[in-house]
Amino acid sequence: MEGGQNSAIIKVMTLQIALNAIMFAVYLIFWGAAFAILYHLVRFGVGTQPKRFAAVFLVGAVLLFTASVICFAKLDVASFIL
Amino acid sequence: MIRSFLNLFKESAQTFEEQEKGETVILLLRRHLFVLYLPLSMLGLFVLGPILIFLVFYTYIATNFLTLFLFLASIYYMILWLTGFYLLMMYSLNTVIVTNRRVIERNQLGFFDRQVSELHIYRIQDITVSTKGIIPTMLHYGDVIIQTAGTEQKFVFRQLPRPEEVRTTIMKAASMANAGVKDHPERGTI
Repeated sequence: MEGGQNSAIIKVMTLQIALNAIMFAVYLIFWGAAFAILYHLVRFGVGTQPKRFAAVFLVGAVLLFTASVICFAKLDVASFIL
Repeated sequence: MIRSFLNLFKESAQTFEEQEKGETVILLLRRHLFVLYLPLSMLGLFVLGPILIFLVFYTYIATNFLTLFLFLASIYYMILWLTGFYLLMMYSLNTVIVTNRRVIERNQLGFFDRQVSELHIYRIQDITVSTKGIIPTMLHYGDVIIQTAGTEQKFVFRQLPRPEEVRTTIMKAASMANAGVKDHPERGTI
């Protein structure tokens, strides 16, 4: 009985670590791409339009990232297995 | 300091990287906005995807998978956000700049992939405007084709708004450059 519980806890922890690693990679790619877009708009943009795009993009990216992190933190990994 | 930062978004100087001393921007041109509408409206349809799924399977999602659904939707919207602004970036960085000395075409082909071609304004021989189709005619956009002196290639600037005005302005700038007038009174964005 106890052995079964332990293996379930190990499974949940493994899944949690794997999900954390995947999400870290996903967020890294997201911010990498976001940096590239911001860099191009600010560095090569001529006139006001690219700067406005850059500002809106940055605000939206931060908001979406925050929402995603909150949702990820609220995920109950144990419910996928147990 | 805050005011000068905010002014960046209101009256940012039309300067560019390869600008020479004393060179002033007469026109800053981008493709017609209609060119952007089609991919952006497609993206708009994709935005509706998770909302429709949520509405259709509301009871099932709300009772079983609400957190997971919101999490997956947030990832999905992050991808859409990047795609949308990638399109806007490509639109915004593909420009034609007409100065009192040169016509510069900057083509952004992708991330860190840029092509800049220029022609000196005194080499312009004639400019042709080509508007083909119902939509370009109704929305007043078309191609501007510039023929330079000699056997050099033609410069084709595609889908520019109000191409007739662009032609007139470039021809004026060319004639002023040929006449030796240093500064140009007209500046603006079409």
